[in-house]
Amino acid sequence: MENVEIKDLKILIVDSNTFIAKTLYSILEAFGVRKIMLCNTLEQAEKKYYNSEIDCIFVDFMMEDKSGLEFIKTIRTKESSKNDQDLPIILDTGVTDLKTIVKARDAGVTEVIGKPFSPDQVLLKLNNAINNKRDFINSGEFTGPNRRRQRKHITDWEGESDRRGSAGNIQEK
Amino acid sequence: MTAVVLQETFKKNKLAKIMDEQSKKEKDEMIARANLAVDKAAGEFVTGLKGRIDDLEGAIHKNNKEDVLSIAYNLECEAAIFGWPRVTRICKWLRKIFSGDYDKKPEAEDVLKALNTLKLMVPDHAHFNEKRDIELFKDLYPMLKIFVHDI
Repeated sequence: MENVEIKDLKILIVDSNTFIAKTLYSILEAFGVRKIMLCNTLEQAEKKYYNSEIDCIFVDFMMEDKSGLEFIKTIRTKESSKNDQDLPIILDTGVTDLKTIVKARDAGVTEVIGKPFSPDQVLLKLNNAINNKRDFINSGEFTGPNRRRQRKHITDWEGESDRRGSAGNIQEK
Repeated sequence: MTAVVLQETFKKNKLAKIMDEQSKKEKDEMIARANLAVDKAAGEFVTGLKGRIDDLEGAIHKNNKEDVLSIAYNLECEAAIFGWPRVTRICKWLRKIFSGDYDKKPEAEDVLKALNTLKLMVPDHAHFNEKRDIELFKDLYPMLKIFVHDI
């Protein structure tokens, strides 16, 4: 971690599998994170989200009561006085097919980490989520970090600024 | 370019290199500590594995889909993290079957065959035998693939 000190982070882990949650807890603890909160249900997690200051959330895809993705959508759309809407959210999931990843991206997750995860992956995703934040988009259709990760450096356009009146490359007969 | 400027640049580069090395060292130490924590958790996972498979069997016999799904998904993820790839794949298969995400619906005896193989792979943690598990999985794999192609 370069910009933000990892030990100062306040992290919430939401996973109905207590074993996985504890493992992730131990990994983060080994990284030096001092404040880690654990929740087994999305109901508990929502309460924590509205009542505590959080820097990052790890949430499982398949929670018992409802999908973890719905929880993410709630965070992205309902404001909290304690936390910003652009709070980094890392989805940890055992289901990593394309359909799920697209759903996760559209729900507004910041990063996806596939299970099995290893400590270096956790560190990498956490660093990305905290220190390499993308622009936050809040349009009617989508709320979340910019889904485009690549920044293409397009050189300045040197042609006419308004091309509506030009024939372009079309050859008139 | 005077000698002083060159000396300053050299100092700056040296400092940057030292800082990079320090941050790499810190990162390596963090990862090493975390790996130790995962190893400890892996020991606990193996100890409780047989009991969890028994729970899965109970849920399958009761045809409690919700429990089967939740236990199979949890076991699938945990087994993957702690290095039990064949247990991971059989649990994934069971999860897909019970969530309806299959190519063809298996018969009850096919599900039992998968479950029995799983039970044979984890008789208890003191009798872990990778060679036996590979053979068991080789026998089972063609059947699994009939019903779920991406297993």
